[in-house]
Amino acid sequence: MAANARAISFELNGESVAALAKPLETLQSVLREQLGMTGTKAGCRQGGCGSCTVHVDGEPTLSCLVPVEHVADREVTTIEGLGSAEEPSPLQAAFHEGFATQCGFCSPGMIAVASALLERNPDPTPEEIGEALAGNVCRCTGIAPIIAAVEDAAARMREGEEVRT
Amino acid sequence: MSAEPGRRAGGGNGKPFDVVGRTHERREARGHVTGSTVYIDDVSYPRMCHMKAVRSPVPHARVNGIDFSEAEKVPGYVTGLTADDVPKNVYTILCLIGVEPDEENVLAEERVRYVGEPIAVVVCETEEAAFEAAAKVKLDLEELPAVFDVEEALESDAPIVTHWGTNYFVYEGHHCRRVRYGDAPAAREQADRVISGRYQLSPIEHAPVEPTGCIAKPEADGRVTVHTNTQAIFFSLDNTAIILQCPPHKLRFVGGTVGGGFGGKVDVIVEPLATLAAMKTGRPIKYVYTREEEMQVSSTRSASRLYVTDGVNDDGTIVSREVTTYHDAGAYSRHSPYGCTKHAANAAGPYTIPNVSVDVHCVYTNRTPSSAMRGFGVTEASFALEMQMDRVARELGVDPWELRLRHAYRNGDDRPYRKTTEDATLVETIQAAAELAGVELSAELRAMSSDDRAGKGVAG
Amino acid sequence: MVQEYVLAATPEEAAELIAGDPEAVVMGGGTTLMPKATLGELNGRRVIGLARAGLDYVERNGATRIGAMTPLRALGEIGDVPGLAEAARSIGSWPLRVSATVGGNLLAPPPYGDLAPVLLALDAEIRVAGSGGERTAPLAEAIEAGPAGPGELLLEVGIPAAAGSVSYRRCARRELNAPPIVTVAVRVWADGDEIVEARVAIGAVGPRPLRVGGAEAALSGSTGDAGAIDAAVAAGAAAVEAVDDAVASAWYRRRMTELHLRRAIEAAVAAERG
Repeated sequence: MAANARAISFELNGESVAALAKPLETLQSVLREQLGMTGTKAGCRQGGCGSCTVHVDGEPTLSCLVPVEHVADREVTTIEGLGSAEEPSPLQAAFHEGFATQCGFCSPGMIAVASALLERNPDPTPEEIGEALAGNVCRCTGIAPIIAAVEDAAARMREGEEVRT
Repeated sequence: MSAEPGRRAGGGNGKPFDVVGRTHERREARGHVTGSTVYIDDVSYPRMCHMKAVRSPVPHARVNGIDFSEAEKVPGYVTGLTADDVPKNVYTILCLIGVEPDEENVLAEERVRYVGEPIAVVVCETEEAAFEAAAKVKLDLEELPAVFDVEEALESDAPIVTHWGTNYFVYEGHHCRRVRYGDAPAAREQADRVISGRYQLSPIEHAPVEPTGCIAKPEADGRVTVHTNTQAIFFSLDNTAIILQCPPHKLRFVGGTVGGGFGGKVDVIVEPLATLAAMKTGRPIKYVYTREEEMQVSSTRSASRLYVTDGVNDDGTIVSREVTTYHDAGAYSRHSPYGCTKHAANAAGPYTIPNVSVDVHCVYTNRTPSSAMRGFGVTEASFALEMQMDRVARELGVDPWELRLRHAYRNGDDRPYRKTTEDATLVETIQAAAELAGVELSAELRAMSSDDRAGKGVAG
Repeated sequence: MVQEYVLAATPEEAAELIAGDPEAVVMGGGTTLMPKATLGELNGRRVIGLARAGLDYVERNGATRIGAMTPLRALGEIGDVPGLAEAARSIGSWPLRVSATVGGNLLAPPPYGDLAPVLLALDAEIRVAGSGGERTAPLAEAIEAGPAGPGELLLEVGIPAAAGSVSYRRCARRELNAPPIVTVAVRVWADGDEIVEARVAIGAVGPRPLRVGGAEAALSGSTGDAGAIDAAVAAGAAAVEAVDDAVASAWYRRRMTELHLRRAIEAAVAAERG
């Protein structure tokens, strides 16, 4: 490992971690290569496809454009922190059941942005969903099933709220 | 979920279907939505090295020299490969089913024919060292005149792209793939009017979100395991064995989830080089395209230019159709000769026209090789011919639905390549589309069927 | 690999570091530089980072002062500076706007840099730190040479309280997340029927964003009638040097300039009339 690499600590999916980062090494790179979080994808490494989207302090962020230094002491959430096979989030369930995932490569990034959207806007219109997902490229589904899945997830979440309150 | 009612609610034994007509879980989707599906770039091995290609920056050049001396000084440099290192330096994707010609090298020998053609590869311990080393390989290239347009490529003074001296593929001694049915020029002369169109498609890049790539890992028993996102794993395995001149049983190809293919991962040519480097170095080798390589270097659907000339009578009947297509294969054949044959068969469209003449030129230019993509060969024909049908309808003042229904092929009709139409459903499909689109068809048009050859009528 | 990444802790430290090392690469939000770093194009370079230099702020006090490191995401939430939020929200995507900054957008190479036309239409000023100290200049004067050169640090964009109505239009191949073919910002303010003054700015179509004085003169003092608008559109079309690139041909850019300039002028005039 290069002499000018530094240890950067941050919170990842609720746990404290440290990564050894070379200057301007990307968050995407350390997530995938050092921290075992390969759910965050590398589709272009130029910020153009959205498949690397994670949350940094709750904001959807393109991890291929973020130096690891910038997330020091901050909270990072990846797709692995947004639900699991045993306990899928409403978004994950909606994507799965609504066939909103085909090759699957864009799905983690889509779900990252959609989950941030639904935290801020629990009843988005299809146009608002499309605008939020404008930076996430899907070459398989034609986006319509994805927008429908986000609407479906929003409805499930609103219903879940009503049941609880 | 219960089965939807349909024409057949169950199998022949009277029991209801329990798979057909129901929604089923897509098992792999669980991994997709949780980020646990493994794609090739998610795979990593200890001591893994990274391969990057040195590519031609110009569209056409003679390769006079390759100098690794600066590249070798990059810390972490392991090795470099050129044409001399490749046991059989020929890449012909369909060679196993006897499709020629042998024209493309795995690594360029004397000449490069498109921007991005691989000339050498470097292997380094880190990806960033590989980027640096690849940039530091010096190429001695003598640029040659290049051609980029399909019709210019067929002119007598065009620079020649191929090694056999013509910029077209030779189909059994002929300069193009041809279909002749009846006598189209004569019928056109007799027709009331001639309606022509020129239709152009640009190349289309698949742009899968996952770039092309593979990892080749030498095993202790002398075999090599190759993880790859190819769509055509047996093509890739067999071509690798031929290129490396090794028995196929030495290779174990592991496929899996392809992050978008659409035909763009059938010409995968990363495995032979990665496998060769793995054998040479004894280390796992990862070779993944950058987004720029995926856009520039990986194959596209071809650019095509079609000239369509119809002889049409005032009663609305198309009596002749002549189609000349120039299909831009780019610098190498790949799937284009096959695509042009498919195109020729479909170039008159799904319509019964008594006189058809089709010439399909498979043309070589100094552009990225085109290849397979979602119905390639036929999609170009569909686009051009449907535009042409609309043009004919407009000029005649005929309803475009009606024009199509009258000409749609029926069971028993001859196709221009002399097969008899069977199991036709075009008429019914057009009728169903009209209903979905809210278009009211006349009673006569609604009564038409694929079995009714006589009921074509003429425009009223 | 990048040799060193130094994060300045204050604007003064940033200005000092930059002035002291004109060979260094200066990084704001990183949206243009990080892909280069990943591909190895910044190997051996020293990079000075502004992410912690205290340049991320929006101050409202009649005028609006925006630190150069303010993310576009924050600009998209400023509701009462006409045209500004709309222009910011037309850039890239939500996650991109979390990283991309005002300063980075002003210094982005053509055809990027969609904030410039709106800022020009709003008579924005920039504050820059250089070897001679700090200076303030109208963006309209600085835009030709570029807002900040080697050894200089773009500190802040200032937008005076703006009269009138702004119309902003962006033409691209896709509605969102695509590079622009042409961007147009028009501001007019009227006294009764008469347009007192106008600002017309065009970006993306040529090598630099520009204000079109001829279009502004045609509209000022007019009633925003068809003749004045025609003259303004003609002046705009004549003023741009359209470029051919992978995004669009020069021919198409010229056609879209005329179309969108006309629509922007009409919309601004209609909005001002209320």
